[in-house]
Amino acid sequence: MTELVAALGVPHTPMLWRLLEGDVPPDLREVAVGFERARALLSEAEPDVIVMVASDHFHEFNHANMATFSIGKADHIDGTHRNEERSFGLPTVEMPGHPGLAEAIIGRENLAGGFDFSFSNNPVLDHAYVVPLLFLRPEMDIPVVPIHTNTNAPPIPTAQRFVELGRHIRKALDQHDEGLRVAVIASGHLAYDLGGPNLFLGRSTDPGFDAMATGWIRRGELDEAEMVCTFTRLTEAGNLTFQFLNFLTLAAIAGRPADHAEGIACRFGHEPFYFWGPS
Amino acid sequence: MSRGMIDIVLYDIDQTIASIDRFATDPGGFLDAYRLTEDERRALETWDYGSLYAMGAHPFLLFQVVRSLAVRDGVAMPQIIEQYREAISPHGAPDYIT
Repeated sequence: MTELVAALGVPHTPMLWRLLEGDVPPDLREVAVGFERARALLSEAEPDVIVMVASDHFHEFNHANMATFSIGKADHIDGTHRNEERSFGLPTVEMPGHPGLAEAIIGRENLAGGFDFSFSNNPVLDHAYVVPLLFLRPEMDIPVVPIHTNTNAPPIPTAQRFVELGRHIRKALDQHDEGLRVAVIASGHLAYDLGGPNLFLGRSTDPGFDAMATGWIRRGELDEAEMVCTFTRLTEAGNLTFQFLNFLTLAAIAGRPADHAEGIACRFGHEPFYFWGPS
Repeated sequence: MSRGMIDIVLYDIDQTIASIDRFATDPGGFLDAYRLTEDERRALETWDYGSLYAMGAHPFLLFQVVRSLAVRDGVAMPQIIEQYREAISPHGAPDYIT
């Protein structure tokens, strides 16, 4: 049986990589502290493998070929795309993968557990994975199983489906018999709009949504989250708010209220930090 | 309805520094590879991002290319954000589902 040693929900706003270097601007100091706490929790948990749930931003997948849920099943994984080096100063990275655990989640001969994943044997991760890893595990020495969710190009799976994804992953972890210590990291946004009318407001596009959403995670109220997180409500909050759904998957994997849940106010709205210890 | 094709063009523009340069220096040649309506082609060729937004280009992808072209041309981010906001604000929140 696998031991779930930590579940960590963090932001991945790519501009943070440059902004948190050197003198950290006052509005981002708490965000830097949030990353430091997450890094310490991950280090103390001593995981053998990290399962990551995050959303590719039109780097691996695009409107010519869009996967809804896709798992990276590979020994070796590269990260950071060319336009992310140029626009955000992100370094290219590489890390080991863990095809065995990926296979436990997706299935071998048939897809497992009624979940129709796509897969990649050559995943190239974007900032949704790379930014959390740069802050939480810059050594890039722990094998990663990346799981991509489409939260950007409609049709987007329902909130209920994100919860089911989490339950599927948890069941696969519980049934896997290698005795692995597994940490799960999910990344995403609270209310956030990029490219729409509310881009770069310097504050949250929907503070009411942010407070409500962090409350669901803090109290483990996934039923309530499923009801409220409709396409219309998430669109109202901003076009990237769909990435909050990754945290519903994370909460469903943990299977209980978070030990710590806060949205830290800064120039990018509220940056989410949701932590669970061993579950 | 080919706005999915606009999104594919936007994706392809933003792949590498070379692809951004190619679009910036020869947009007509770049666009020859795609099936676009006349209006879509004109808006892309003249880089009229307000019109592309109104047509339902994916806002995130659109802004990503706006940012990449601004980085290429050395335009300061606050300036390009203001220009972009001004260009899209008359159009509300168009349907971008493909």
